[in-house]
Amino acid sequence: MSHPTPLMEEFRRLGKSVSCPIIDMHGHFGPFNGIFFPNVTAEQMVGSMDRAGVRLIVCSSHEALLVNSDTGNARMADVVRRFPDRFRAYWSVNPNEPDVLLRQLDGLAERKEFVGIKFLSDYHRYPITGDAYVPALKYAQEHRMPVLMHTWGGSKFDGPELVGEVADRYPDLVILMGHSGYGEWDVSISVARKHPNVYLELTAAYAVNGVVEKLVNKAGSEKVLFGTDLPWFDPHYAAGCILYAHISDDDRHNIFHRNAERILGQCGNPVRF
Amino acid sequence: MTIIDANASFGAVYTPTLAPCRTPEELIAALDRAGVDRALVAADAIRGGCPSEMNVRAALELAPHARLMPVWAILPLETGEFGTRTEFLDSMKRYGVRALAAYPSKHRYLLDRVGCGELLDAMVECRIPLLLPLEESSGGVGGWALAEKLLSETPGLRLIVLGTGPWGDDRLFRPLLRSFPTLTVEVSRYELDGGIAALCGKYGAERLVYGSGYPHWAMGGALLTALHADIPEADKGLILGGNIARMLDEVTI
Ligand SMILES: [Zn+2]
Repeated sequence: MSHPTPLMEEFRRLGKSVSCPIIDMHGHFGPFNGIFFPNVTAEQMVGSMDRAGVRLIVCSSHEALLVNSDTGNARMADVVRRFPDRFRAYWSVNPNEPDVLLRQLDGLAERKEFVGIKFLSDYHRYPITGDAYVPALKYAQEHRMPVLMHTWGGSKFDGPELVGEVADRYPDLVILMGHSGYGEWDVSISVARKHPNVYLELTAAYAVNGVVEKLVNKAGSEKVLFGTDLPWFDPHYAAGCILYAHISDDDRHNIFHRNAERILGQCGNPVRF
Repeated sequence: MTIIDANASFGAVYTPTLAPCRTPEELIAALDRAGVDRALVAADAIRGGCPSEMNVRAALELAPHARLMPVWAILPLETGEFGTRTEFLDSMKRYGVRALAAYPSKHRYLLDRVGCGELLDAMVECRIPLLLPLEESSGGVGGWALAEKLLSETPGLRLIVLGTGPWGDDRLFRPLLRSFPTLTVEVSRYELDGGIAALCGKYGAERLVYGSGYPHWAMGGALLTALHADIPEADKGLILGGNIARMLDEVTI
């Protein structure tokens, strides 16, 4: 049993850390069909972020993912323009409207609000290896835009083995495995170990006791990213799971901010606090 | 502030587990590291084994550790596995048990008036809290619908529903909080951003208790969330320990 560390004690006392900012690489925006969110506006999200020391969040729009990709992404961009120091966006694509997807890629890399692309394949019932995603994957690789994929163990649409196939085809593409392929931890770890550009993102996964330690010990903390699905999950919940996991403060710095800083920097969107 | 975890466990590993907590001693070490003073402990053995044996065995294992308070699983009295109502309550008293839990799916019975009426009445009379994990079901009714049925049929039952979340369930349980004053929500998986503060503002901090779900769920998530919820310190004290301490104090067996 490891002992409490300075970061654990600082977060416990203050709810955040001065020396260890957090970058949340998996946020959303807007209301969602199945959940009441008490904190749903951009202002409320910033309030939650401030309480936990989250300096920047990269979000995708629920509306864009599940209702209308044009209007949803436009509203997402508006949030980034209103809070340029706190929000960045993923462009949400819908593989079931391939013509719309193709049209939307035109000029995307020049739109500074969007630093990456978001896939929600399990919900869209369309595999990440399917043809409709090819233009987005090629575009993201060419323009160094990370792709945040919802990944879930056992899914025939975005299970971790399929992520491995995509990574084989696009070796320079930065892939963020949202939820770390929840449940199929070993496969996710082997994909992240094999592919230098594949990262394990922790949303929801952090709650399973022992997962943070397993991902850090087997894949390395430089491959693990902080995320919350905000406005779904309280950043303190995610931070608490990572803080009380049996890993080092150095690992926690990697997860909380260093890896995200490196990825965003390498992809042409350096963050400055 | 005294922190009490209302939802902890320990036990041998019978399904693939990443980070087990096999013994009361290991549980105490985890509580110490997290700065948690006491815990209500429903041993894995009372779920995985038969409560007729494992209730007592778990209580004996926990007995040397005053910080760990045993929870017993209920069964219908009709099969005679617990003896009579009086014998069961006497036994609870002897082993220092002040909270019960129901696992009707695991133990295969009907958690309703016909199946458990006598014990449910005893819980109301003696103000014994009943812990109900949200994943449990009875007779085809599960989750919040089962909680609603129980509270409708047995008014005054001090029901603590464990493990709501991680998807926010407010649309499901807020009407129950309004309708049933003896319903308490345990927050080990209640990850909803701003959820605790919103509930405290509307229903009062008395309606929530902190639990970790450890070792099945990570120790630090609900803890840091409750410690830094946007609510007054006094409310944090209630959620993190005051409420469950009061409920256990009020038990009259
Ligand atoms: Zn998400």
